[in-house]
Amino acid sequence: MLELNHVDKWASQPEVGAILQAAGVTARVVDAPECRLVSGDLAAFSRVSGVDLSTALRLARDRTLVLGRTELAPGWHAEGFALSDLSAGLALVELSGTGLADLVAKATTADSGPSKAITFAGIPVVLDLKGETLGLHIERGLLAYLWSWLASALQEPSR
Amino acid sequence: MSGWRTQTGWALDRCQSLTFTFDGKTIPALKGDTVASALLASGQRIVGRSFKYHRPRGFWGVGSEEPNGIADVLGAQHRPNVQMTLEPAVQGLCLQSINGHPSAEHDRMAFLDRFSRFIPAAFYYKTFMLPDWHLFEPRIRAMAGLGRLDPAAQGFGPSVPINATCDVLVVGAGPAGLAAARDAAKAGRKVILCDEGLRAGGSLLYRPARIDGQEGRDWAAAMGADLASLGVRILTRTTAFGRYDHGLTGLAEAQPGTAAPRIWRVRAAETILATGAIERSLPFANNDLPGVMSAEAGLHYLNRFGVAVGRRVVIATTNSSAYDTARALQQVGAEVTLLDLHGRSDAGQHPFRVIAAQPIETALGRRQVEAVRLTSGERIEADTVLVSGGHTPSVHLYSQAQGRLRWDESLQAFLPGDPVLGLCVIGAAAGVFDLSRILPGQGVEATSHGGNAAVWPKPMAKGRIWLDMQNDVTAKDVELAHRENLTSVEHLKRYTTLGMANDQGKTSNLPGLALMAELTGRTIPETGTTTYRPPFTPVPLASFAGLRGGQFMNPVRRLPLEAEHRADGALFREYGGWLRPAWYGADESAVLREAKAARQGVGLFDGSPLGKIEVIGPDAAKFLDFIYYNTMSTLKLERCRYGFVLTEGGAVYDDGVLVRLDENRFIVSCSSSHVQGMGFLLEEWRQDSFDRSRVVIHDTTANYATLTVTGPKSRELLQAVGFAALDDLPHMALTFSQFEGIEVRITRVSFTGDRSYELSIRADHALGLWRRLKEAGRAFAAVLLGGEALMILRAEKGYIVVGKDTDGRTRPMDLGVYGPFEKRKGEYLGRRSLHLPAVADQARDLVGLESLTAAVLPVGAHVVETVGGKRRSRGFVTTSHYSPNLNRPIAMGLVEGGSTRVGEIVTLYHLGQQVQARIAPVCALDPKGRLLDA
Amino acid sequence: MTRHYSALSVLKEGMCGQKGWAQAWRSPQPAKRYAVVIIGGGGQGLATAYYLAKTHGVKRIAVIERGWLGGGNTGRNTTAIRSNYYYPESTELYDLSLRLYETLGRDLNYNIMLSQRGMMQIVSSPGEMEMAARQVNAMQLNGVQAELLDRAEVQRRVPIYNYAPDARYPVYGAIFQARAGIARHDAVAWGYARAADALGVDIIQQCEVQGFVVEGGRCVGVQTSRGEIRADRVGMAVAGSSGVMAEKAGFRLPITSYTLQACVSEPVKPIFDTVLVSPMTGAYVSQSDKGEMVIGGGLDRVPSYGQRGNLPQLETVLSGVLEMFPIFRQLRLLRQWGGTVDVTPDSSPIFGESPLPGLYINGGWGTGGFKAIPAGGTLFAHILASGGHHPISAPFDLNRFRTGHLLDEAAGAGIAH
Repeated sequence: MLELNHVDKWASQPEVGAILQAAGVTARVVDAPECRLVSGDLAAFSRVSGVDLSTALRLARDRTLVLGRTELAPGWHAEGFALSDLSAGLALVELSGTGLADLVAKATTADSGPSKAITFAGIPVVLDLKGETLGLHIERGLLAYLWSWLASALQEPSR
Repeated sequence: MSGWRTQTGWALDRCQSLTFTFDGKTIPALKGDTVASALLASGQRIVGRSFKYHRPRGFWGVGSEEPNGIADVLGAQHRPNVQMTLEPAVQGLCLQSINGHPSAEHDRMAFLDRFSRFIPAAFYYKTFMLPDWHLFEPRIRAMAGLGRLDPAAQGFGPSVPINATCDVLVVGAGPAGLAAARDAAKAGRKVILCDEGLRAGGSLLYRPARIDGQEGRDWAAAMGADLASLGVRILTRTTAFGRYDHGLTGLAEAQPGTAAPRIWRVRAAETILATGAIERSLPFANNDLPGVMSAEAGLHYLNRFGVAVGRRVVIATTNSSAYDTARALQQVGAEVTLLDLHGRSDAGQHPFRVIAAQPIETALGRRQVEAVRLTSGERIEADTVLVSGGHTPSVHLYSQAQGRLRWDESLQAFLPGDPVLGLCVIGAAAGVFDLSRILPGQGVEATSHGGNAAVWPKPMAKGRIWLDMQNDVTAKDVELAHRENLTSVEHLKRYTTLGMANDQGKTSNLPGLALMAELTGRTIPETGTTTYRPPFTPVPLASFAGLRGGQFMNPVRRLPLEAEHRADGALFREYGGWLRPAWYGADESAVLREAKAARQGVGLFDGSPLGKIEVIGPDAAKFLDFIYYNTMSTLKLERCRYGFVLTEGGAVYDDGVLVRLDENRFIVSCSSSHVQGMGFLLEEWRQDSFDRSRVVIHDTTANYATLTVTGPKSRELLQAVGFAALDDLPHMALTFSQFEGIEVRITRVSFTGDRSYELSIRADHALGLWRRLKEAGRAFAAVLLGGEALMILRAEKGYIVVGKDTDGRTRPMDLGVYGPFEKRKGEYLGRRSLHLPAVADQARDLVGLESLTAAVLPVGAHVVETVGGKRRSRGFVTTSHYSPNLNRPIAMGLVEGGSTRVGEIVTLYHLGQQVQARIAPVCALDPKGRLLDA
Repeated sequence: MTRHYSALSVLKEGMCGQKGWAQAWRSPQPAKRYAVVIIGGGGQGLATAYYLAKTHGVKRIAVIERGWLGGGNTGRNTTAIRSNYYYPESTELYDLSLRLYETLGRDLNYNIMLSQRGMMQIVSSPGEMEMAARQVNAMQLNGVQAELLDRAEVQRRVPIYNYAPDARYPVYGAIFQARAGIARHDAVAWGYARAADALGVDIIQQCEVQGFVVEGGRCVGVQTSRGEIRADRVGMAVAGSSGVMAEKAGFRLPITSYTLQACVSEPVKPIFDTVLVSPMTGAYVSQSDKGEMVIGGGLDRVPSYGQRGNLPQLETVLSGVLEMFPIFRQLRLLRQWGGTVDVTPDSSPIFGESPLPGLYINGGWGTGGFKAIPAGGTLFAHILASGGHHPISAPFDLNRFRTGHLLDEAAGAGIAH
């Protein structure tokens, strides 16, 4: 049957550097930092790596996402934790502006809790609040969706 | 005529007049009018026809409690079933009444009322059985329904729901709600206040009152300003429609333009319901005539919208609040007679006639009220009857929160009973009607409510007494239900349809159940209420849907190399939640070309969605032994093993390759459509049955692109790119290499049956490698391979696709893998189910099927055998293609006893046709697997 | 007293003010002993009582209902009736039910308003078309009429569906069962109740079973809020309360109880003439004879006895409905509710003797009990009359979870039940 090429149904993936500005919010696709997923004895990880856990993004009781390089190799560490590279797996969108609170209210039901892993615009997202800027770490395959969602949510008539 | 415009009406801007049409008639209005107030002011009495009997109907109320005044808004922004009492009058609005053809005034079906005796409640259950309901159904359907949908219209536009948390949510911005919000805000709490009306104020917007020396309306406005300055978020035109678990209240906030009302999901530590109360009607014959209205509505229309609803007005009331209405109408020149059903005879104190303790027996008039007759026999000429049987507190949200109501005999009302955690009810909603009690110590001067007595319909009353005006249910219908022993309040509702229409019984539930109580000799609380359900008033479907739809519904995942494939002319389809190339080229003929070229030379395939879930830890091997059907702990370092993961029922859930990177680190390379499912499965078993500190699950699928190079020339191509040392790499092994300084993991596994390598590289460096592969590939006539061609290559080799070549019953033994079933000792997922007696009974073998002609066998066709004259299915075709490498059709299927029947001819059944096929080995091409090393 | 329902009796009673209608059922005092006691006055229980009296001539039958009859899932479902199942055993059961539904109105002398407007399951990809063909062939081989429609045919029959090129899920075709449709759920319960009552069945409402009377290891009756009632055989047909009832009887059932939600829109004039489900959006819709769109979707995924709706599921289902029918963007939601459904590991029901001898089960219907009421009642009546299985009920015995002879409809047919 004659059918649309499915790729035409979906907005394309934004490039790093893409900017969206509406409703008092600036959204930017930025270069995702290197990052590692660490699970297990997080205190041991902190000791061995020297990484301050409060700078990492806690995802679960025994799991955290560490931004930036570490010297530790991927795999199991005898001190009791495992590490995997996720540096190319996540995309990063940064949001800022006076309209940020309103946007977040539209995107998620999550309140501030210990886990940075929430559902945002219907997909799993890891939040990183740095001062006035909110970083959204998302699986790279869902970046196009999130970007389209942000555009629609921000272009709604403002209250 | 009846209604007329007065000089009162603070909501009107008399400098801005406009017109709209109703049933084709042009109606004048002023800015600030609702459609209802403008229609009333213009003297329009009949605004609709009742659902069953097509009786003329006029407005009853002034807000969301209105049962009669419903119309379709026509045009590009067509909206059916609009309540005219809530619809602002705007220039050019075009409205069509419902149920009246050609108009509400002149309805062709009005004659039905003459046959009403034959069509009481539930009559349709007693007839239409013969000859067949289908004969009658179309006509009945055509007569049901309120407004109509317009296929050419857009409907409500999307609006995005908002999530909010606060300390206190106050529902209702009447005096009680305003005071509660201020108290909470002054105590420093974060407050949200909402009201369904256009502005805050509730009854203060129309009922005379003085508070601390201020007019009620001014006090309300001042409070609003005060609250805003205290940081209270005030939402008007916002209905709290539903109360849900864990302190969640759903609000629907009207939006400008055509967008659907926006839903607020508010989670409040405490919710205060100041939702007010709805005025009750009185039972008398013909109480549905246009002109019979709520006394409170009469006051509201006059003071706020500048409309006197009639000139000769009879007001019948059980309480004192209606005196406000009487006084106000008298002042603008209406002739008022007040029937004080309480029996108070302070006749002398009023400028209008007061008759004590004489209820109305019947309203008289053909198409509208012309007079009333009291039980004393006295006839009073009137064009309007305003009634007040007290007020019913709006306890809906409290009940939705599982609160239990209690009956208050003195107020003749259901009130909130035991407290519900996090919820409290105040003001009229709690049965406190007097303003002086709602705002104590604030110098309130207002008419006391004076009791809340009700008059319930009595059994055996004469005439037709309406209870539910939307569904045309009368007291006699309640008696009928009682007569037939459908006496529970839920049976009553469903049998008579009382309370089931758009207004969900706001004015009809209580009188109906009160009558049933009397008929059954029970008290009202013993009879009880029906279940309160959200939404309180109808909310557009579009509000709930939000943005979800189209590309915002179940979004696909996108490949890192999508743009590149696009540039190479790929036609994309969805595969397992990803957007992937189905083929490259203008049309589907590319598929056969790709399959052939890949098998003959080399093909390049983007397998990035392939699962790469790492299982890491000292217990990883032990864990994987449990997860997999096959023993995995014996897998050597840097080797791969193909295996199955079963469901607990023993069926094959996923197949894939497990890769061992080192002693404590594995990669579960599961099928791309199962990555989320496998991730959950692994994590669930890890947490349930293993020591979490010794094994962890990391899904790193998104981190890597996996580029497959497949075909007899694959090794040469990779060497040309610079990956040496592949000569020594055996099948099912892995090695590490580099591309431009970035690590590449090369796994020699084959999903095509040819020599094949999977290159996994960081997704952000995939493009360079892919381009290099393409570039080098030119020398080998390399072809880009899409998903469809890959399916053909797999089918040629008899490689299964889980979910296509397997179903919920397919066990590993059906696929020819017996070893673990026969030999494995320890526990593994699904093991117990494999040893159940049924497994043997349900066994089917995956086999090949050869077409006896040049035609490709149809997928989904069943292998059939005739047993005792009946055709029985013995299996079905799961995969079928034309093979460009064998130049003939190939197919696979699951067939009972298939493996012992190779060579047999079987009959296939497909959509009424039959065709024959021969059972063949499942692997049609290169059964010895030589191509793996070609 | 006018007992018989007909156009003539409607006319007659219209002439005399509806005064002569007989009670639809009595409100008898429970006796101390019956031949058969059925726990649960929903569609399954009432149908069972009817067939016990009618087909098996059993006297002294009681149906014990803790609330008001038909007030559980029978009064809450989305009224779809179909027999498009995958396994022959399931097809026998559900098609028996559909055939019984086809004459039920006449048999019970109660208009149950069976509207055989067909059931259409949308197919959204070539792979799904292959599965659909497998399903349709299975049905045809099981002797059940079914068609595989192409896109053009779907578009002809359901013009208001979303055929836009950028629709989330394109329409490739549909599985269509023409004999499927909807019926008036309350009428089914009331019709069976009235007919059973006329045959002497005692329907005892507002009577809660609080425990079982067990003697010599055998169930010989029930303890109720209105006293002890003894019986030769006791059958339980209590849908989502099965787990709680089983606990009172001292055993566990392989079920998990979930809330299933449904909702209706406000009524509008007829615009939609079939029952339609899309497995991809996870929603299904039909238009009732009153004009409301009756909408349902999948289960709440968290076990609960809550019997009430919530927002997340509603949002999922309604967004699915609007994606399928853009015209419904003009509609408003009128009411949402929930019921409790018991889901078995293979999404197929349970029939047969329970682990407590003398106590028999009809349950585990999951989301599909309403369509099966006539067959469920027929089969359960056979079981309660004879103490043994009917050939059609035998495959659904509780024992199948021990032997592994599951009838996994969810996996087999891919339809959300």
